[in-house]
This record gives sequence, structure tokens and C-alpha cells, in this order.
Amino acid sequence: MSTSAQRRMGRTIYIPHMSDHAYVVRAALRASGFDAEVLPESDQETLLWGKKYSSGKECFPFITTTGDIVKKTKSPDFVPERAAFFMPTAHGPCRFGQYCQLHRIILDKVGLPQVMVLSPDSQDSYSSIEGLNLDFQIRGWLGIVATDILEKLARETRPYEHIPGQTDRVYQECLRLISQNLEGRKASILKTMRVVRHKFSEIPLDRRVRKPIIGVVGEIYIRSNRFTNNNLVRKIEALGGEAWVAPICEWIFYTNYQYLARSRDLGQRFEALKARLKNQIQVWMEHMLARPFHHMLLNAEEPSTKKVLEYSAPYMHPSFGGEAILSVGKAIDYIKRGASGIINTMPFTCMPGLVVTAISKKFREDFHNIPWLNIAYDGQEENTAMTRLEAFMHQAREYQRWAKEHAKSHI
Amino acid sequence: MTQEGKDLYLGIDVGSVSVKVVLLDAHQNILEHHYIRSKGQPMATVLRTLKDVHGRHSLDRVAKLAVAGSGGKLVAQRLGGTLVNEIVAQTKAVGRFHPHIRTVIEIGGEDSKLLILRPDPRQGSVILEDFSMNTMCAAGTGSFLDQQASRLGLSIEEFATLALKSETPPRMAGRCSVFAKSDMIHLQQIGTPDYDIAAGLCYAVARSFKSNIGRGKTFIKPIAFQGGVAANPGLVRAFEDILGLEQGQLIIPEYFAFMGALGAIFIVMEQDSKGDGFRGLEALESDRKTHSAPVQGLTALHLDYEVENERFAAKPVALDSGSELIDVYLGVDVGSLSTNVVAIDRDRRVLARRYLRTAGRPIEAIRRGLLEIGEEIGARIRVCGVGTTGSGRYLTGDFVGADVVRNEITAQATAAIEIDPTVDTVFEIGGQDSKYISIDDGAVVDFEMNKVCAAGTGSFLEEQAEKLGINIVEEFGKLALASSNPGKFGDRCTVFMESDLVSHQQKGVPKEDLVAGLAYSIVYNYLNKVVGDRRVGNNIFFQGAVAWNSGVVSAFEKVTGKKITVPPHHDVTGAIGAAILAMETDKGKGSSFKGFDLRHRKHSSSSFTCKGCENMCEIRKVTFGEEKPLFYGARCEKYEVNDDKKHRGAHLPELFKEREDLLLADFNSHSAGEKTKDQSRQIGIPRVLHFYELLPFWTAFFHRLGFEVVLSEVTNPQLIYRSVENVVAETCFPVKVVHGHILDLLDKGVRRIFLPSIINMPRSHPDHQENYLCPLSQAIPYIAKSAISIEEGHIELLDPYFHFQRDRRQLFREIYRFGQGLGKSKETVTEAFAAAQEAQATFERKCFERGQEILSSLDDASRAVVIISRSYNGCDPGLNLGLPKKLRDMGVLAIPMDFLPLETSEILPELASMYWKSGQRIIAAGDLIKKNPQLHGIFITNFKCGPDSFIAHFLRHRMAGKPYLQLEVDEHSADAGVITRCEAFFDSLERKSIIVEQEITSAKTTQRKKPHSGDQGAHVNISST
Repeated sequence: MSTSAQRRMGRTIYIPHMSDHAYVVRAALRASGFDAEVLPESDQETLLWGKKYSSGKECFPFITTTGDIVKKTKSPDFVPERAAFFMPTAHGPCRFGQYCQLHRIILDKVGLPQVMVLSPDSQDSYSSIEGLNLDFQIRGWLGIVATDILEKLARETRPYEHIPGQTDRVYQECLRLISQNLEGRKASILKTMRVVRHKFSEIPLDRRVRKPIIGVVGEIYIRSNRFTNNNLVRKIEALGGEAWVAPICEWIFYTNYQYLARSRDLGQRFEALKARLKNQIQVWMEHMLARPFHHMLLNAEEPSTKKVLEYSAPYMHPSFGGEAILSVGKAIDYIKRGASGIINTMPFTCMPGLVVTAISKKFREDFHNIPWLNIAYDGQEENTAMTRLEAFMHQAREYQRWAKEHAKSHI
Repeated sequence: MTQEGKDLYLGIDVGSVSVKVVLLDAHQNILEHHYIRSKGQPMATVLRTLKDVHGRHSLDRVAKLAVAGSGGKLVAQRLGGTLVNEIVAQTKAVGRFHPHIRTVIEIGGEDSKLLILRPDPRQGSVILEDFSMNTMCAAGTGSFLDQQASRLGLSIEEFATLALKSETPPRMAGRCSVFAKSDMIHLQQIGTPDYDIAAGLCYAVARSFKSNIGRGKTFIKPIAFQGGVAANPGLVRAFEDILGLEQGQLIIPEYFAFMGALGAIFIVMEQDSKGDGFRGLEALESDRKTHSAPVQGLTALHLDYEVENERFAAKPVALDSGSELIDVYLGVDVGSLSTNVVAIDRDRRVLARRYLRTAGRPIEAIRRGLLEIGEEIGARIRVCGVGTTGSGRYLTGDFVGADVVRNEITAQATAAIEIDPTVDTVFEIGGQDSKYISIDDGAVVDFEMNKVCAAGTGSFLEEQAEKLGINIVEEFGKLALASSNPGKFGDRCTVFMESDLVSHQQKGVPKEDLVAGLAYSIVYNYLNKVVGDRRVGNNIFFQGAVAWNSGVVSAFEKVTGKKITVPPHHDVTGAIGAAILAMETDKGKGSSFKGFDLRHRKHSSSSFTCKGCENMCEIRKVTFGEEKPLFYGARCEKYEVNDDKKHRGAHLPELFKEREDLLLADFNSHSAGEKTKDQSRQIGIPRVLHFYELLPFWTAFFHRLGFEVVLSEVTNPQLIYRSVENVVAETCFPVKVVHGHILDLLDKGVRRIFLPSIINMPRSHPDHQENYLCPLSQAIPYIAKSAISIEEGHIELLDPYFHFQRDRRQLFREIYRFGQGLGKSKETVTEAFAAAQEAQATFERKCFERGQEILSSLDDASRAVVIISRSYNGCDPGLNLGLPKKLRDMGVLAIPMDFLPLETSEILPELASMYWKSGQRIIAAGDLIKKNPQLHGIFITNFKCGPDSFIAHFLRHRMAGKPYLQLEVDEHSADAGVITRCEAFFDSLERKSIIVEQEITSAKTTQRKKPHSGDQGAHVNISST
């Protein structure tokens, strides 16, 4: 396979490690004949480079991805002519869609015009990159959904494990199985997921007392990336909570839905039909993979985008595109599934994040003052951040107790 | 519940300056409570106190232990027990003792907190609704008061009671302890009694708490005041006064200092779990001996090159022995701490210099400096020109008879550029002032100075050096460079740094490491508090008195990773710059210099306190004879703006006024008519955001539908204040003010407000697929609805959405749906839509035509600048501090960006996917300005502007090679700051063109004189390139 990999584009595609989903993207790329690598997780050196090549005012994920890219270009094994950085893009209205342009300018500035920035674009169905065909898309989608489910499993299991560290070990093993499967010639992901189920069901648990569930919503990179969010999930767990994080597939469902809505608005019937078909297939695959876990998970399947937008409708109209509407809708989904608190994560000065922050006031009034914490990250450890989180967890515990009593009194 | 023989409960609150211990029985009766100052040794203090308690109540009986406070973690690790978050603990205790309290002011040694509580009917207790804390700054904390008390030679208890004696507390600076110190010295000099000073400081702390920690939050009554500082009756009185409370409305809980300790143990007692039990005193004692691992410090400091003599001891050039008179130019720079006078010759060599302490008496300092220089070289020279700069430069200028008066940014930059035209960054650190200047191709494009905090200034180092008993001039640099493991203190307030130093000293950290750590700290403080996220270039000059300090120079190099150049005479570069500016503007008509001996020149002076901000500067008003009074002593530029400059632009057209008239043409044509009292026929439109572009469309539309349009006022201070009070999320300034505009409309009696969600704007170029507004603009109705309770007031907020990018038919569909909702027929809406489009097109066409006229009328002598910005930033004087008018006063023609033919700009392929309309236009404007030598650009942006964080890069990319000024505006921006920046920018542009002219002329006649090469570094030489 490596010979064909060399032939495809002749470059190694480097994927930033936003989350473990990077490994399944790598698998899908390799299966399509590309040479692909996942960049190491961000660290202090990342920040050093990132801050050097940015003004510090851009969103934090831009600074870390820039830092990861520049860091890679400085490594001894780096061959500029044979390198491409994988940086998906969007078409606004938030800043994310500007990343790849500025990455390009920065790479030129550091004297590496020959390095490629690969920006697959969901709107043109990845047709801009030769070789990213339907097979890649199917494998990629299955991998992303499978990883989402795996993460959900870990997060609903770990707070209750008997043997500390066991969940993490099983998780790593399963992640490897999933990406190996997707990289293989004939993927049979369903079978792998049954193995995953088996492995997780064997972890001894004590779930007699359910811990307060904290729904983590907000900007996709920050909420999913443990370096930039200072390991928020682990902190919640250390403070006696169970953390649920909005999955990656949510965004993909949404972009597809938006495309559909827009095509419909503009009267482009064929485009709308295509988008609807794609959506149906995606939903079907997600349900198929999630089904075996119904009995194990409180939040196995994702609500449809339509449902999420319905939830958020009292706060904003779907014509306002971007992540804000998902954060609000997902928060409601989490509350309906039993969450006792919501954390809205975002990069410092994130525009959709600030919209959600503004709306959180009304939102709380409408939802029995559910504990809600807005956290903006910019790479600096704020000394009051932990105090805030502790106070929030305290509120969440009180809310959980109240909600329980409230539920009883209504029976 | 109690375990066998275990019936005692222990609560420990380990704060930054004190330890609080409470001992309870099983019924929560308080058996003992202790408050002990820990003097940098919290662990030992806890141990001592517990031993003392043990003497009366055996600690073997302790069933549960709870630990809270900023130093609680370590204690809990060693002693066992359960760690409780201090905010949660405070809330718990308040709920127990005073459940009706809604707001808690908690002030401890280094931490201050504000808790907003809500009654919890479910448990008869309280719930924590919101809270805020201080960060990095001692303003509004106990340490601030401790430090001031010790400066007055008082114990904190004496200080507190003394304060009560005061009847008229003076206003003093409360934000920064260094500034408070200078206020204090001044008050003492004029004979203010100690009790007034003490009371003044208490008020300063209360005000700081309200503004820094309260941040616009409402202090709902009743209010509790707790924490160790609540023992201070002087502060209690100050809070009652500042918050407008009647006596008794500020409740001091009986156990005000123990609320954290008590709350913590209450919580732990309620928990079912046994928790991590108390390990006993032995654990702590044995641990204490083993736990003293060396602290990991920072990289050792060191300088790569042997430059000490050259850089750090520049001497004036000796005069030759000839007898002819030498032409010289004098420069005078008056700063808050030092006053500098220099004399330079035509080769820009320093012939004489004086660095003197200002000591609050600038006139005296200048007098002495001039007299001494006169005695030294006066007989050999002829003064051809004098330049003054620094705070109080107009005062100085009048006093000495200056030919040129320039702000210190221009002066500092001028000196730096003379030495090296490629310099791109200047760090300038003086006694209480520090500045940052960014230079692009010889033009000042950005600058910042410290206004509220002295942490990045020389005073910071001086104070700490004093504490360590070392000489700042002779020892500091050497000691710092000798350290192998510099202490890690971070960027902290000078007040906190003291306690850091104490605790490090107690741990036995060598003095060199402390000193080197301080060198790092001033650098971090400066970079974080003054430079912030501004650009740090690659050719950095370090000027100002602190550059003497080789330890700080090295720390700058380590932290920035770049070479730092300390120019010769770095401590008087401001004065040198002023002298150079005097030389450059010398037209050979002689100087108005009044002579070296000014002892005869009489003046009268008085002083007052400026109440413009919390700094409370003491301003000295000086009058020479019958002349207009001059002001000196402000920490900001407020009094530095020269009135004479006004009216320089009386002949210039007011293009922003013209644009406003065009924008409101339709509105004005209707508002002249009769006013309806019928609220159902009124539509209120806030003058914000996209309305600065689309008002013609909407006013015409609503008028045709038969409505009367009511506009909110133009953004003004009152409106800004109300906005800030009502915002939920800390967005950019323009989005914040929307809140105030809505409230303004409500005040006007409007019941229906139009605040649409505009998704995108018309496409102006096929390459630009998307033409979005920023997400915050799009979501503005949703943001407003959350912040302002619309429903309650029977107010209707109309929030339709529109896609202006879509074609006419599709847009009409959205417009029609909206019109239908207002009860209008299809026919009426169609007509109104057509009229609206017509109005909008007329507006745009007229802007374009007027722009063409203006552009063709420009010549090389015009000073014309395009305001590069979103329309609201450029056109709302409340958002840009009246920039267009200020520019006009400076004789600069300000052109609205949409007067340019933006559509004619060519789109760079790498920037084609710019999907914000504002970004497309800003970049296009940059292109046109770059290509037109008669135009310059001022880019207005806002703190926290998301799109601009990217657009700024692209604009720079597009304008590469042409400097432009960038102004970041927010609700804290001050008028004078904007003027100084503009002055510095235009001054440097003018200098550039003068130099170019001179170079052309000199190239034609003779080769420019080369500087002497023998004594490099001993003089300021102009580059020969």
C-alpha cells in the first residue's frame, strides 16, 4: 500500500490533533491511498510558535494549529516539498473559515511556499481534492461516529470504574481497533463496535449513585481538545461530576442540514435532494452504530439537527448560522437527558461563544436557573478558573438534589 | 453521628496573609476561634495555632477537618481533611448566619471577592448566583491598605481608627499603590494630617472594589462585609458612603473573619462521608522537615556581548579647542520622575546632558538643568532651536521659549529612528511611566503607555530593591546576572510581590535569584500590561532610565527571544528626539529661546485634583505673567492637547457630516413634518451597527409603509454607561452600545423597535461568494432580548431576518413576509421596497460622487486620511471619540471609507475567500490607499473584534510597505490618547517627507556628511543610508 500512498499526491498529509478523531481521519486517508500522519498533541512549544506567528487576538485554536504546523516544519524529518497540512475550512460567518488563508500567508512568511495547506470543504463534497472520493467519505463518517460513541462510552463509564485507569486502557485499545479496521481493505465497523461493546461491558462499575451530569457545549475545537481546555473533562470528573461533551458528528450533520435549507430557500431542487439523501444516509449510519449501545448509554444517539434547531428556536432563528444555535439546542438536549449543569466553552473573543454567553442569562431563567458556566480559553491559566469550576460543581450538585426532589413531588 | 470519642470539628482557612482556625462541637457551637497573621509562613502558623488549641482541647477528638482558602491545598495535603472551595464556604456561612443577605463584600489580604446571592426557599438558605474576584492586582485588597499603613508608620489597627477622625477625606489614587504613594507624599508635603490621608486611602479601596471587582454589577441590599479587612471601621464607613447605604445596611457578621473557616466545616459536617480524616499534628510536623524541595526557577540571565562601557556609560562629546561658536539645538523632556535637558550639534552629537529628578517641581528642574548646561558649554555655542516634550511640554515650551513642542512618542521615536531607520519597536521604561511604540518604515503606527498600573515601571524595581536592601544602580544588574536560578514571580502587582519575596526569602532563596526574578517580573509586567497583544518587532530598542539595568535588558532578551538594543544616551532619548525635531524644523529664522538663566522668569501656580478617572491626578496650573494658564501633572494626555492647533482645518470640508446628511436624507425629509403621538404608528430604530449603512433603505421603507421613524440618540457617555450596566457578555464596544440605544428608544416612549438579523449584504464582486455580517451583528436581536426584558414592558421587538446577498426576488420574499406581519398589503410593500432600494442606491451614488470630487481635488500638499473601518466605527462619533473632528482640528482631511471607489480594487486570489463584507471593504480600501500616494489610512478597530483579528493581518498584507495607524477603541478609550496617536503618526509622516526632501537636495549638492566613526556609541549619529 505504501507505494500507492507515495503516488497519491506525493505528500504526507499532517492532521492536527484536535481530538482522537484525527486517527480515524488518518485511517480513511490511508485507505484512500494517501500517506497521512497525526500531528503530536499541542504543548508548550506549540504555544511558543503559535504566539510568535499570530497577534494573539485570533481565536485560540488558530494559535495552536498554527503552532502545531510551525512546530512540525522545524522537526528534522520534515520535507517541505512532501508535506501538506490538513485544515478543514468553512464559509463563515465565524473566524474558522479564515484559518487556512492565514496559515498560507504564515507559511509563505516562514519561507515555505512549497508546503501545501489542504482544506477539504464539505460544501463541494471534497471534490477539490483528487482522491477524496465517496469511499473516503464513508470511511471518514463511520470513523467519526464510531469515535464519538467511544468517547461517550468512556465519559459515562470512567467516573464509576472500580479500578482507576481501566476505562482509559480499554478506550485506547478500542480506538486502535476502530482505526485499524477503517484502514483495512474491507472495513467491517459494525463487528468492531460489537467488540467495543463487549470490552466496555466487562469493566466493573459502581453506578448506584449517578453523579451530576455536566453538559459541555460550545466551540468544537476547544470543547474537544484537552490541551486548549486545560483538560476540562478530567477536571469535572475530579470534582465529582460526569462530563458529556457535544460530539463532532453534530457539526457535520449541521453543515449538511444548512446546505439543504439553503438549497431549498434558493429553489435549487436537485441540490436539496442530494443533501437530503446524504443526510438520511448519515443519520442511518449513526443510528446503526449507536444502536448496540442503547442499554449502556444515557446519550447514545444524537438528536436530529432539526430537533436541535427546534429546541433553540425560542432564542434564535435558524437563519443565524454557526455554532451558537447548536450550543443552545444541545444544552437543552442535555438538560432533557438529565444534565445538572451546562458549561459553554469557547476561545477568548469567540463570536458565536459570546452570543451564547449573552443568551445564557435568559436561558437560565427559563430552565429553573440551571447552573451554567461560560469559560473562554486563551492559553493562560487563570488562577480563578478552578475556583469558578469548583463553585459551579457545587451548584450542580445542589441542582441535581433539587431536581430529584422536584421530580418526586410531581409524581 | 459522632464516631467514638470524636466530637470536635475543625475548620481552617489559610489565606494569603493570615490563618483562621475555628473549633466546633457536634452542635456547631464555636468553642474557639483564632485569627493569626502568618507573615509568609502559613504552614508553621497553622502548626503553632493547632498546638495552642491542643493544650485546651485534645485534637485527638477531631472527627472532621475542613480546609479552605488560597493556601488551603497544601495544608489539606499534609493535615488531611476535606478541601472546600472558599467561595462555596463563604456562601454557606452567610446562608447560616444571615440568609437574607444578597450581596457579600469579602476582602482579605490578597483576595477580594464579590458574591451575589439569591434566597433558596427550598432550604431556607442562599444560593450563589454570581461572583467575581480580583486578579493580579492589589487594588481593593487588604494588602494595599497594609502597605499604605506601613508607609505612614502605623499599625493597621491604628490606621483604621485614625481614619475615622477625618471629616474631609482627600481623593487619592486607589488603583495602583505606586501612584497612591506619590499622592501620599504630595499630601504630606502640603501638610495634610495623617487621619485625612488614612481616610482617603480607605475611600480609594472602597472605590476600587466597586469598580474593579464590582464591574457594573448591582450591589443588592442588604450587604454583608466580611473578611479580615472588615475589622477596619474606616473602610466600613467608606463603603457605606460609596455605596450610598444608610447606617445598618452594611452588615458586619459577628465572625466576619471566620466565614470561610466556618462555612467549610459546616459543609463537611453535613456530608455523610467520613472524608479524608484529620491525620494529626505529627503528620504536619514530620512533613514540614522533608518538604523543602528547591523551587524550579527561570533561565539564568546573561548578556552575550561585552557592552557595559559602551552602552551603559555614554558620555557627551568633548568640545574641540577652537574658538568659533558651534550651532546647537536643545531638547527638554519633562517626565513624572526625571527631567532631562540635552544639547546636540548639527551632527546630532550630544555635547551636554543633564538627567535630573523632577520631584514634583518641573520648573525648578528645568531651570537648574539649563543653568548647568549654560555654565558648561554656553560660552562656546549658539542656540539655533529648542524642542520640548514629555508631560507638561507646553508648559515647558512656554517657559524656555521652545520652537517646537512635540509629544513624547514622536520624540522617543525620532531619536530611535535617527540611530537606526529600521527600528520597528521601542520599549521605553521610566520611573512611573512606560511606553511602547511600534514603527513601520519610519512611521509611528501604534503606541501604548501605562495608565493605571506601575508594575511595568522603574518604581516597581526600586521598591523591591529597597526591600531587599540593595542599591538599584550599582548592585542590581550585577546581582541579577550572577543568578543561576532566577526566581519565578510572574507578572504581579508590586504589593503582592512583597509577600512573594518574603516567602522566598524565608525558604532561603539566594538574593541573586530574587533579584534576577524581579528583573524577569518587570519584563513580564511590562509586556503583559503595557504591550499586551501588540506587535513586537525584530529590531527592538530599549530606552528610558531602566535600560541602565543590565539584568532587565537580559531578561527582555530571554523573554522575547530577540536581541535588544540599548541606544547610547538611552535615558535622555526623549530630549534628544525633541532637539532633533527642533533642528529639522529650523528654517534659519532664529530661535525664540529665552536663555540659559531663567531664574528671573516668574510664574504663579495653583493645583487641583482631576476627577476624570480613578487616578485622581494632582494637576498643577501654572501661569506666566498674563499668558494663558498651562497644566502639568496628569498621568494621561488629557491636558497635553494644544488648543492652538484647533482651527487648523477650518477650510476643510466636513465629509463625515456630509455623509451623515446623506444617510439621514430620507429621515430628515420626513421628520420635519408633524409628529404623531400614535405609538402604533411609530417604529424605533437604534442608531447602531449596519444601520450606519442601511438607514436610507429602512427609513424610506417604513415611511412608505406609513410609519414614523424614531431614531435613538447618537452614542454618548450616558448611553455608553447604561449599555455597560446592561450587557451580559463582554463583547466588542459597538455591540455593547446597542443595549443603551434600545433603552434610549424606550425612554422616548417607543413601543416597537426594529432590530433585524441581517445575515449578509449585497454581493459586489463575483469572486466574493459570501458577504456576511459578523455573527454578533447577525445575532443582535437575540442578544438584546436576553439582556433587556422586552416582554415585561409590553414592547415589541421586530426581529425579522434578511439576506441582502440574495437576488431581488428572494429578498423581496423576506421583505414581504415582514411587511405582511405589519399588516400591509403586497402592493404597499412592493412600492415601499422599490422606494427603499431607490433611497439606498441614491445614498451610495452620492457618496461615490462626492468621493470622486474629493479625490481629484487632492494634491501632494494635502493631508488626507481615509478612516478604514466598519461604517459605525467611522461614522458614529461616540464610537470613535470624534476622530474625524479631531483630525480636522489638526488640519487633516478625514475621508469616509465608502467615499472611495471600493469596487474598483482588485481582489488578491489569496484573499478571495474573505466572507465578511466588512473585511472585503477594509482590504479594498487598503489597496486603494496603498496605490494613492496622496492618501493615508487610519484603521479603527475594537478590542475583542473577532473578524478584525484576521482582517488586520490581511490589511497589513494588502498594504505591505505603506504604514497606517491602527486605533483600537473601547469604552475606556480617552480623547487625548487618540489625539496623541494621530499626532505621533502625522509627525512621523511629515518627518519622513522632510528627510526625503532633504536627502534629495543634499544628494544634488554635496554628499551628506558622514558621521564620525571613531567614537561609535558615544554619540547619536544619523545613519548614512
